[in-house]
Amino acid sequence: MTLHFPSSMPRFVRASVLSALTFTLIPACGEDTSSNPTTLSVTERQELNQRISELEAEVTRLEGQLAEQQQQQGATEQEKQALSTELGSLKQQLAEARELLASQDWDGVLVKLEAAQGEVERLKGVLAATDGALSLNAGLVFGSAPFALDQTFTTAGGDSLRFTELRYWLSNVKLRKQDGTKVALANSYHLLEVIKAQAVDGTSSPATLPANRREQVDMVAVPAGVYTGIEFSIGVDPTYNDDLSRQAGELHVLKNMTSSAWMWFTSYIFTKTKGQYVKVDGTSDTFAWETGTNADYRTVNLDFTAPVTVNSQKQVKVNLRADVAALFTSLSPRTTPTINASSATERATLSDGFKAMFSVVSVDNSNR
Amino acid sequence: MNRHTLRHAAWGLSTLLLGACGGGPEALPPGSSPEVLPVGFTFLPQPEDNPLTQEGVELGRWLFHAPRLSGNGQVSCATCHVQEHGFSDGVARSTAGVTQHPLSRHTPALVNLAWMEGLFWDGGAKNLESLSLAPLTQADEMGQADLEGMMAGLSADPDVVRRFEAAFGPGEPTLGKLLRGLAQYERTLVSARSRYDRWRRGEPGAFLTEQESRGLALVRQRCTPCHDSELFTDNAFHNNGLDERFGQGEDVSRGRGRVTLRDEDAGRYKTPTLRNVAVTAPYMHDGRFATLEAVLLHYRGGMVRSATLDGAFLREGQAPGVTLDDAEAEAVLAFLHALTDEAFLSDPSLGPPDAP
Ligand code: HEC
Ligand code: HEC
Repeated sequence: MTLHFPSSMPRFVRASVLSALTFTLIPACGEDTSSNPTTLSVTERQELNQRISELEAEVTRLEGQLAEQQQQQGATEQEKQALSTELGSLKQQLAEARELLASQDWDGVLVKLEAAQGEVERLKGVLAATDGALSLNAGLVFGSAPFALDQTFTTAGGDSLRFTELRYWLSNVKLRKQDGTKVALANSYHLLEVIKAQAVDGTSSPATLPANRREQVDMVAVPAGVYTGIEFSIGVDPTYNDDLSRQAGELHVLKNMTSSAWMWFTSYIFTKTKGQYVKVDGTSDTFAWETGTNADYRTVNLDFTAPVTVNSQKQVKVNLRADVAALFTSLSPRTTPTINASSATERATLSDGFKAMFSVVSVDNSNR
Repeated sequence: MNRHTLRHAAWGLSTLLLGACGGGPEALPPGSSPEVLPVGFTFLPQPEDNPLTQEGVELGRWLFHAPRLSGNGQVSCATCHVQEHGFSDGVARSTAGVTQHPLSRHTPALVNLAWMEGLFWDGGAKNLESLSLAPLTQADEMGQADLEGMMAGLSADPDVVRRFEAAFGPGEPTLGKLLRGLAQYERTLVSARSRYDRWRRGEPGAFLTEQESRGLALVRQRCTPCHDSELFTDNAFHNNGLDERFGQGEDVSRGRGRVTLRDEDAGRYKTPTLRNVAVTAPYMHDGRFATLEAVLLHYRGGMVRSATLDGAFLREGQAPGVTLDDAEAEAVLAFLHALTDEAFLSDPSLGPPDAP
């Protein structure tokens, strides 16, 4: 039988082209084929061809990155010159790999590819040294007042509220360039919150989550460039939300952002909004709102007031206003004290509220 | 593929091809289960970032049989998923969990899970990697209220660390690796060696009796589109006329509707496979029928109408059901027994691992 082995091990996922190359050949060892090591099947050849193309694409990307940096200060003229020469010789190597492929010199192809791969990795490192940093601050307010737990706020609809907890996943931060293309920042899964100390579900040890207020995420290794806007999402994208064994950024099942009720849907809890509200008869009661499931994933797109530059000398701090009052424009705890996995319509409305709560206050683009 | 092997790759393809099978977590070599897939299937589906390796499957098999994962140290996955019952348990609603409270649903057989997209009776779990968190933490199943403590316990045991490292390379055991190991093992629970399969592949000496052949033809005609294909399930959700009314909101009796939150899915449940069905009694999501005879009586004349009853059961001028006369029912029953896969039910490589 033929088993299909689509990829290498997780820890090597972003490993080299060669590993991908090797995996192509692995199925051969699970098979009782009389595979002759010196001949490659058509698919194996195509696979090699594709790896070369992928490396070529990588080189093109690096060239783009370099070209962009040419326009900025950063590396010296000499350094830039050296980099473009190296990229040139890389292209040459790949062209040779193609020729060897045509002449069926598999060993030669492999040697070339390994060398090229090593070189690509090194150049990536060199270019990364010009990376900058980005801070994103989503300052919580309720209308015109600063947001805090245990304080009374009044919604536009006249509800009187006191909060005990507010949490949400801010994920997949991307910076937008003038030409509309986007640069995604790796591993961006951040849990923003204002919480009191609470026991961790899934632990019986005295483990607690400490009281915490977090409105800012700091990202390093932000590729140098000129950016005109920012994009991020509230919640967790389907790739990570559908498979709780995948790990990235701050994603974890022991952060009280999963629960057995949500396990039925295989989803992280995307947002939690909890507190007390005053009922018609004057007494108060609790409300607990949660969103989750892929349907509730929302993406926020914001423009900067002016383009900003990221490089090793300059840093960017984006100050946003996150207005909690926006969650209460179409929903009231009086009519909807609970929003959970089984309230699809209300969850959608609440998720729209989260999408609408952010606006740009200012963008600092100072020298480091 | 480990780095070490990669270094050698450049020595030449021959080293690569031969060397690829030795050392480190590699592709499944011949000899590890499953060797045989149902007719027409050429590969075992597996996620890109959790491919099957012999060491990964071995780790999962060990975890599946490890009571130490439970809150009281006494319940393993295998407590409820028993190999000789097709990894089901023989009771309607299990009381074998840590609290001994009856569970809300019947333990399904674990058969050919690699081809199943939605797991659980209502399909709420999207993949095997995520599913295990539910039985592990559910209070009445394994009742593990301290996942962190559980992982710390595993990390403190050198034998366990060795198992994890063999499967996933150097580093601490993590919950993510535990979930992936279990999923790998579960994907190897492939049943494709029943008498029916051997006959289907034309193996020497394999046969179906005339009655069984008639039963097969009837199943292909009257039990479709649900118990269809070589898997004998469409892995989709249907209402086969068990109840008149269904719960609301998060009530488990809402069936598939509990997950999709749509009225048209109320009372629908995932079609179970007919493979090994002779050893997985009792039947249905709540284990209400003790025997296959009782199941067939239900299909022939015991169905109740409801808003979501599957159209396949509607009959002109008659109560809903499947038309089978006595002889036909006998033939279907005979055929169902030919789907029992003794090799699967007793395969030692799927059972408890040897002590280290
Ligand atoms: C106390 C009994 C019990 C234990 C222990 C248990 N299960 Fe289950 N299992 C069940 C029941 C009951 C269901 C059906 C739940 C439902 O559909 O609502 C189930 C369903 C499943 C399914 C879904 C099968 C399908 O057809 O959709 C898988 C897979 C599974 N269990 C794996 C495991 C694993 C892995 C473990 C150990 C980590 C485990 N189970 C422990 C009782 C148990
Ligand atoms: C319209 C779809 C449909 C048709 C047609 C159908 N079934 Fe089913 N069958 C199901 C579903 C769905 C279940 C599970 C229902 C539940 O548990 O609530 C089921 C359950 C069963 C079970 C119990 C299996 C177990 O492990 O619990 C058996 C046995 C069975 N069917 C046999 C048959 C036979 C034999 C026929 C044809 C004579 C048939 N079914 C026709 C959908 C169908």
